[in-house]
Amino acid sequence: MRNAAAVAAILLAVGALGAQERKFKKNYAQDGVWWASSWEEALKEAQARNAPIHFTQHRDN
Amino acid sequence: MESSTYTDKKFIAASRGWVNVAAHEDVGHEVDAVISSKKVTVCEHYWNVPCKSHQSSYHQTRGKFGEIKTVPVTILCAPNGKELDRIQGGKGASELLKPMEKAFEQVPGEKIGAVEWTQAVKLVAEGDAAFEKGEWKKSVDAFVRVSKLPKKALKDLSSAGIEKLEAKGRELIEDANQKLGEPEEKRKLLAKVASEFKPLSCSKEAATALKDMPPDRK
Repeated sequence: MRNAAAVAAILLAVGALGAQERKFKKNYAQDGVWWASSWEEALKEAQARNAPIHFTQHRDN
Repeated sequence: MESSTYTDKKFIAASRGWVNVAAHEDVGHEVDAVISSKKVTVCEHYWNVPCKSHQSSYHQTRGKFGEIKTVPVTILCAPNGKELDRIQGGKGASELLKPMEKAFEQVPGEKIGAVEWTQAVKLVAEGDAAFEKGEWKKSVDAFVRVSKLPKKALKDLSSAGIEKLEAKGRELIEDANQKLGEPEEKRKLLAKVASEFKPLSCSKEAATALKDMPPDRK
């Protein structure tokens, strides 16, 4: 029981830390590239619109 | 590229002709921001999506494009996902726009831009929502607007909505016909279908049925 409470406390603390770490970005761009929510969604939309797909792959530096 | 190419105005304008997919396995770039007065949580690198979107695109496309030797890489595809061209390395907007133009021309047929597509999809959603609430006139107006859009693929989005409205209108005419001893109720219901479902076929059928009713004796 004590262990479960300790684990829950750690999870809450980690969650709170995560929430604190996400920053609020002032003056965020009001326009940009409209990215699809997933490849599968993109494929469905591309076929419905007869639009080509611009795919790009990146990774963190 | 995230902070230069994808924020370039010309690139953003051209990207509206495409469906854009970012595949990026790493997460943790999310920020809270305000876009069009709405609070959102989005990935700082890919303007409108959260990190889970670019991560799921990464997982869904693993192995799809053969060996990817270096990243960043840009792969231009046909609407069915078949690769048309590949550009290796980080590129500026002008360096990407040329091959994008060339690939765009390789796709035959009428293409729908993201702006007109989004507007049509929004209208269909409004039509569906109004239908669910029984707001027939509002629903008819939304689907008829979609049916009058200039491109076939856009018009086609209205078919299911128009079909269910026609069915609903005919169901109401049938309800009216069941009101044998209540001519006033029947008249009211037919008038409602004739008015609220205009310009659909069921509206014309209701108007004809109304006209064919014997005159009110009052």
